[in-house]
Amino acid sequence: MTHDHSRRTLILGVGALAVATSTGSGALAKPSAAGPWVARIGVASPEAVAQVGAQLGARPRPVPTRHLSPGHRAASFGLAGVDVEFEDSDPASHALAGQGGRVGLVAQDPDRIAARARQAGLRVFRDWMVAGQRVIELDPGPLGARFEIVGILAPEAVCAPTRVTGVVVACADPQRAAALAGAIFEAPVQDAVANLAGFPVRFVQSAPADRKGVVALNLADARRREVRV
Amino acid sequence: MQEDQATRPCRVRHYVLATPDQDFVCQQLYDFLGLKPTPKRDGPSPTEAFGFSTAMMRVGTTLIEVVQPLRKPHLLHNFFDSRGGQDGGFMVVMQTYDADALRARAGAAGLKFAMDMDFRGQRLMQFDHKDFGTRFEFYKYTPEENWWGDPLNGPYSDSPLAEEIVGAEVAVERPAEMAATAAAVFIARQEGQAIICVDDRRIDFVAPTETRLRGLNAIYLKARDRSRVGDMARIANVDFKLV
Repeated sequence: MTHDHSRRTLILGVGALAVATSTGSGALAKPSAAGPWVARIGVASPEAVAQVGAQLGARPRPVPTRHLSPGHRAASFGLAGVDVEFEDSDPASHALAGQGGRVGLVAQDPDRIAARARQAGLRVFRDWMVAGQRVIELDPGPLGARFEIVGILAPEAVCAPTRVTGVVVACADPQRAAALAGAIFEAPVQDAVANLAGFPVRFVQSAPADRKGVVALNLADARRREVRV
Repeated sequence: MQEDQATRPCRVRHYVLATPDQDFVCQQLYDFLGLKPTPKRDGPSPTEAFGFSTAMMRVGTTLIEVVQPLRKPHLLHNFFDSRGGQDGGFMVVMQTYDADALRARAGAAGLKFAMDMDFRGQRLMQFDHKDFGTRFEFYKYTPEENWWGDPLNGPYSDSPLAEEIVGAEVAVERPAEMAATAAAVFIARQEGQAIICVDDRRIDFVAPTETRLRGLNAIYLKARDRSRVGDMARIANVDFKLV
């Protein structure tokens, strides 16, 4: 299978944004296995779009929202080699908005992912067909964030010279979350990092009162920074 | 007039899903339908005395009820066991305007109710799931325009996705024969393997398959945005299809 990084899409709906110290992993590695690869990342919050866009020097634009729940809106922009979307959802209409974000993956066979999740004891929260395409979303409880799996993803045009090279997800039990992600996505795991086709998903501990979900992105721009979201 | 009530066609009023995890299934439904969660009532649920909890939501004028057993043994556990432990579509709830007339039509078809009792001021009559593939439960509601779940006055939000539930699919052996019997007993119009009830709500009877278990397997939602027609969500092993 050929992995085309120009088709990666990142969904963000970020509540608060700050730039932290760099832990970026450098240039985006090519996917090394036939497993699913990270294509979108989302954190739901209305004020995030402009904030993140300003941080990355990109101007988001509206995108079709057919794949989203009713009440959701989305805006997008592209980064070099990475398509980026910011998702802005209406928490009142979204049962799990408080779970703090989404990691979207593209897989050849979403059914296989769903079966592996059930085998691992993880429930499927969304099992949808949208425009003829299967959309699977796993129960975010143990994983911290909502992991969504689709079969196809449309590309976005590049409008800012920044690469996203990794994502950080806060959850209650990082070791367990990474192990689950590794089992479900057939990905190597080391030190609570699941390497999804060359894209590291790092699980970190969240304090009970802290927000769970996507909490930072690793960027491979000139400063190789980690952007907290 | 009594005669008119006796010959009035029965109406589909709501659908029941059974699950071991009511909150999870309700969240899935709220998520797909874009509904605001129905506020939980103060105090015990009216069904707790019967060993199960219930949660309701509304699409158009039709209700969806999600039930969860609270104790063992319970009929709902038998339902899960019969499906290999899976949750699923448990029941279709309909309205009759004349309980005696319905009872007479059922008797003429050789059918007996599994339950025929007063329940919270309403007459409740339920066919066994063996009769039509899933449980069909009938109420003679008083008043007739406000029924179980209080759809007219209850604290429900409106779905931005779907304007109404317009039908369902039930898998059962000999579906055409079942449709004919249901049409006669429910006073509905038969079209092939389907019955068409009041307001053109349809129940399609289809044959079970290896992947389509006997019972209530699909619910049809009329999409507000016609570009969503054909989209679907599988929740509690029931396909919610936008039509």
